[in-house]
Amino acid sequence: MNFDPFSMQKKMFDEWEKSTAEYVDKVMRDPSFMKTISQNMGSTLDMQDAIKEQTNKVLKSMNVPTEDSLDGLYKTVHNLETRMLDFEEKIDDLSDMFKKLVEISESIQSEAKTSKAKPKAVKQATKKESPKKSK
Amino acid sequence: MKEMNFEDYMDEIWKTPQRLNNIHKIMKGDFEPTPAQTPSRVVKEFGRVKLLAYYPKGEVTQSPVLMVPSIINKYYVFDLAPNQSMVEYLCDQGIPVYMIDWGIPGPQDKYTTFEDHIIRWQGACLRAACKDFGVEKMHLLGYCVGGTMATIYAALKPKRVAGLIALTAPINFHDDGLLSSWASSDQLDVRKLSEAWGNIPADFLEESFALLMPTAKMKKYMNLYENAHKDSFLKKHYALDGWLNDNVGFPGATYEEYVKKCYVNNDLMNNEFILGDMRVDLKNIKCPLLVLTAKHDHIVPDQSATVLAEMVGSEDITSEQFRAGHIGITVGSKAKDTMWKTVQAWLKDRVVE
Repeated sequence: MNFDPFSMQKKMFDEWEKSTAEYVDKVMRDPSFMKTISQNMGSTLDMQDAIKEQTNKVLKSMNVPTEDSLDGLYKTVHNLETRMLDFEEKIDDLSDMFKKLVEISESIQSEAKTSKAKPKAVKQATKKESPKKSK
Repeated sequence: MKEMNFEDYMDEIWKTPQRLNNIHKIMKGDFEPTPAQTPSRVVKEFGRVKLLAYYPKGEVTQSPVLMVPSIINKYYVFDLAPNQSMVEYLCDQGIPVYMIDWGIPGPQDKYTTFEDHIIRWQGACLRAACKDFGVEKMHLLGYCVGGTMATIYAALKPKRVAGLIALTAPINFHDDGLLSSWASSDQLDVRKLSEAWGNIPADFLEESFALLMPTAKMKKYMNLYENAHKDSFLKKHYALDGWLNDNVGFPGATYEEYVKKCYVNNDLMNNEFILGDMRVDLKNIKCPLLVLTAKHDHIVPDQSATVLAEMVGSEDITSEQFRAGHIGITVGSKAKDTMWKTVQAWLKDRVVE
């Protein structure tokens, strides 16, 4: 039985998909298509702006906060967030520096201790040696 | 054409009632996705951004990694479902994982800049992760836009970056992809978009991505019908589909900056990318680098991402290309044996002291 309708159907779909994708890709790369799309989008956004402006006027006349008046608040919130993160970074840097300073001071202290301990050991050794010599 | 015998016919016909049964299950919601199942802990919150930590159940055998997902998708692409999760896989290999959850941008985020995302939030998360694990440095793994952000961070603040993994991260934005041709076109007025909408809505981005491959939806449904008799396929399909339909908006100011600096001017490639008051020089990246690309990527074409290997100052550079698409590289059926394994092996050889 050579006839296989299932794989034939799949092959047909694959061919259709490939040629359609190629065609649509070509159309969408066309500068005139891009121009039309951006013009449509531009006019939609202009319309949205006009509606927003009118809504703001109505809300203002009713003493209701508008999006524009909330905008200042958003900006403040954003500024506060960024400043807080900047402070956190500075605090982290300072704590890193502090850690390093502690490490340095600890190593200096331990070095000082060992350098103090060394002459004592020499003195002790000379003390121990001297009685032997007298004998 | 394959030769078909009677048994093959019967097999094919028998799939139909199984498909119908599964369609009933789909309608009942049996395949509803349940993402982000790997146990995690919130280490720190920075406004809408969270830092999550995933620890291995057993012994920690390798250095931790901080994952930086794209800012327009949910982080759980790395943790779609049990057995379909890169995070779960890495934890099973003894690698602690930290993850940035970018959250959902609010109205104030229309002022959030690229610098806020890269230096402030990403930097804060990296510092918090290092502090949490008790290390000075950590590996960074960035995916898509997250990869570009991790790369920029590694160039500007290399102090805490032990190694960089750029997973399909666009660097050269002037490629032959459709997205590049649209975004770099002077017809797109990004200022007008961000002024009108504040944040760029997820629906707009979703439709734009759908237009990149207009027949993809048809192909998806064809594939779904062909495999609808398999429960395991449907589970995986709906887990991924749930993520694909769960996008977040692009913060307005960041979108404007991203399109202008990356797509229009291609500043990263020209060494002219200015972030805040700092110029990004990719040659400053001296840490080990792993560049991972997908051969059939229609969002970040291969040549757009591989170029990073030639632009950094690192001596330890590894590049790998996989036969997958932009999403398939991370969640495809072969992802575990290809990309995940490569990342794990790379991390194993680069233990941070």
